Amino acid sequence: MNRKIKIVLCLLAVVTGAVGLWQLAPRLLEQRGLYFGEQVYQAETEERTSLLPIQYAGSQVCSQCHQAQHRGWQESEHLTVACEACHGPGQAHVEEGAKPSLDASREACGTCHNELAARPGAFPQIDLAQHNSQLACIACHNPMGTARQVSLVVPTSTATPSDTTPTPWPSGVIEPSGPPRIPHSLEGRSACMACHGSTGFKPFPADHAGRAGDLCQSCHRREGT
Amino acid sequence: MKVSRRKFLRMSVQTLGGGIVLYVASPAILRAALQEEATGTPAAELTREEHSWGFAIDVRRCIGCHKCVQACKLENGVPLEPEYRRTWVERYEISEDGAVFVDSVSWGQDGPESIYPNAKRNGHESAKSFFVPKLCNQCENPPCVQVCPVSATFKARNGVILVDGRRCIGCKYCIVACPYGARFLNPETRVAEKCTWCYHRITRGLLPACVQVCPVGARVFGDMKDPESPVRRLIREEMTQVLKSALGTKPKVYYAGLQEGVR
Ligand code: HEC
Ligand code: HEC
Ligand code: HEC
Ligand code: HEC
Ligand code: HEC
Ligand code: HEC
Repeated sequence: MNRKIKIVLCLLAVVTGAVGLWQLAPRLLEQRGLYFGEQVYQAETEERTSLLPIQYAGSQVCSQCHQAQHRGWQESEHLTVACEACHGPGQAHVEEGAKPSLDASREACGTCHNELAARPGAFPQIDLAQHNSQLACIACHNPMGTARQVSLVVPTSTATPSDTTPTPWPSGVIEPSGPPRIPHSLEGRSACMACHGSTGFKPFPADHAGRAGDLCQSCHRREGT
Repeated sequence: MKVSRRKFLRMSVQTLGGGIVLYVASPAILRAALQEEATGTPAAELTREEHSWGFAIDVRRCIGCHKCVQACKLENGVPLEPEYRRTWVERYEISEDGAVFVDSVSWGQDGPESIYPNAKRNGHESAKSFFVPKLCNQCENPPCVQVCPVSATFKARNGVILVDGRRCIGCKYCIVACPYGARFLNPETRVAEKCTWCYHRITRGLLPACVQVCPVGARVFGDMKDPESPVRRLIREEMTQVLKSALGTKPKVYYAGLQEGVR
């Protein structure tokens, strides 16, 4: 009796196993792969990967606090260049106040603008070793537009001040370190060159050569305004 | 213990049935259990039904600034040594007599190695030269997935190929199998690693980091199901091709303005 049951059971197991494999296995294999529960591990990996932290916040986020830079940038040639392309990843800066990178060296601009044969001809390029080699790029170009537009170098036209006078920084935002403010009254001092020309008693820096007297205030504004 | 035949048969049928039910249902149970601890991304974002991502590269725009390589490394914690990279930029130089030279600097700790002298090699005068950004093609028929002996790498539901770092045994089969050289062995974790199109960003609705920082719009990303997505528009309006199409891997990175001879 015991022996009979064993034999029957064995047969039963073999038959169900065979039928099961024949009927079910191909479908299950196709659905699930070779390993049991593979789909589950995959779903879990998808989930885990999707929850990794981000580092690059996006220019839109920067605009919430740096409105002046953002506004200038939007009107500049650098509009297509994300803030974080120049300042590095900003999520830690936004969340924990970590310092973003602030590299104003000539080499930093040269990463994109140094003249290379492989760069498309239409892209504006300069020879880093030749182009005003004594000065930092930001003495003449403002990468984020604002007071000195990226390509507003030395304002050559004698445009009316209203064309070139930048709009004041909105209150409550971080003051950008633009050109130094004028610490004195302007009353009776419209001829800036009299005192700030190269022979005056407070000569302007050497990079100012060629800047016309009527354009000083497109970059320098009265202190407190 | 004595068991009647009838009772024994009933018991065995019950056991068998229970086993089958468990086998079929267990993935669902496991998944439910796992989902309880992991919160966040709605599952719909991850599925292919929702999005089918595509990538396009306009070679004619690339200026080789390597901001993409930098962003990729910092976003994904890739080792900063130049030899490890998930995306990279190759410089091609083709001489008057048709000789092709390829090199690639990488972005390291101190920024891109600012070499790139205009080449003149072995007497070949460079006639034209250009940059070609490369990254994982997230193939429709991925050879890397086929060769993985432990199923650690697989195609996620939105079409991106992922690596499960916990299952990977670091055997490097996939690194050899990838015809595009997109994979490498992470020296710290000792598991295979590759570009995921910033899976953690695209499932949050953000752009991949390399696309976000590209200053000239040479990298384009979007949903292939949306006819107005930037990637679909580029593919529609420009002549595009994929790399090594003859291999039948069906890559999902499309190149516009690609010179013949670039592989
Ligand atoms: C929550 C508000 C906030 C946001 C959002 C924000 N910043 Fe700032 N940022 C600040 C403050 C406050 C300072 C001044 C900190 C200091 O001087 O130490 C600052 C300073 C800076 C500086 C100058 C650092 C220096 O060394 O002088 C840069 C560059 C900068 N932010 C870039 C960015 C970028 C890029 C983003 C977008 C990813 C961004 N910020 C987003 C608040 C913000
Ligand atoms: C092309 C590169 C570039 C881009 C794009 C750029 N910046 Fe800057 N940024 C600089 C440089 C260089 C400086 C240092 C300027 C200086 O010292 O005068 C700077 C300075 C700053 C400062 C410090 C205060 C100041 O004005 O000097 C802040 C804040 C800032 N940037 C925010 C931003 C934000 C926000 C964006 C995006 C809207 C942005 N930057 C885009 C290059 C860039
Ligand atoms: C990430 C790459 C990148 C960096 C870094 C960068 N630029 Fe630019 N720059 C651009 C792009 C893109 C344009 C727009 C080019 C175009 O219009 O085709 C541009 C345009 C300009 C222009 C206008 C050129 C013209 O006549 O059209 C000037 C000037 C300029 N940049 C100066 C700078 C300076 C100064 C720095 C360093 C603070 C700098 N750039 C850093 C990408 C960059
Ligand atoms: C002394 C002021 C000055 C300095 C410093 C300076 N530039 Fe310029 N830059 C100019 C002037 C003026 C022009 C426009 C002249 C021209 O069109 O040839 C110009 C033009 C450019 C252009 C546009 C070139 C083109 O082909 O359209 C770029 C890009 C540029 N500069 C980048 C830089 C970079 C990068 C640096 C730092 C390495 C820098 N500049 C430093 C004054 C300066
Ligand atoms: C009567 C002579 C005189 C005239 C005219 C004059 N300035 Fe000044 N300016 C000075 C003196 C002196 C200082 C130095 C003040 C100090 O050290 O605090 C100065 C300082 C400045 C500074 C600040 C320099 C710094 O160290 O940060 C700026 C900017 C400036 N002047 C701009 C102008 C402009 C623009 C005009 C024309 C609208 C002008 N000045 C007209 C005498 C003059
Ligand atoms: C394109 C913008 C621009 C214009 C126009 C301009 N400046 Fe400046 N000026 C600057 C910047 C930026 C600095 C500070 C950086 C430097 O040294 O170049 C500066 C510095 C100065 C300083 C010295 C401040 C110091 O550090 O002691 C004086 C004085 C000055 N300017 C006066 C003038 C006068 C006078 C004019 C008109 C003839 C003028 N500037 C026109 C941008 C400008």
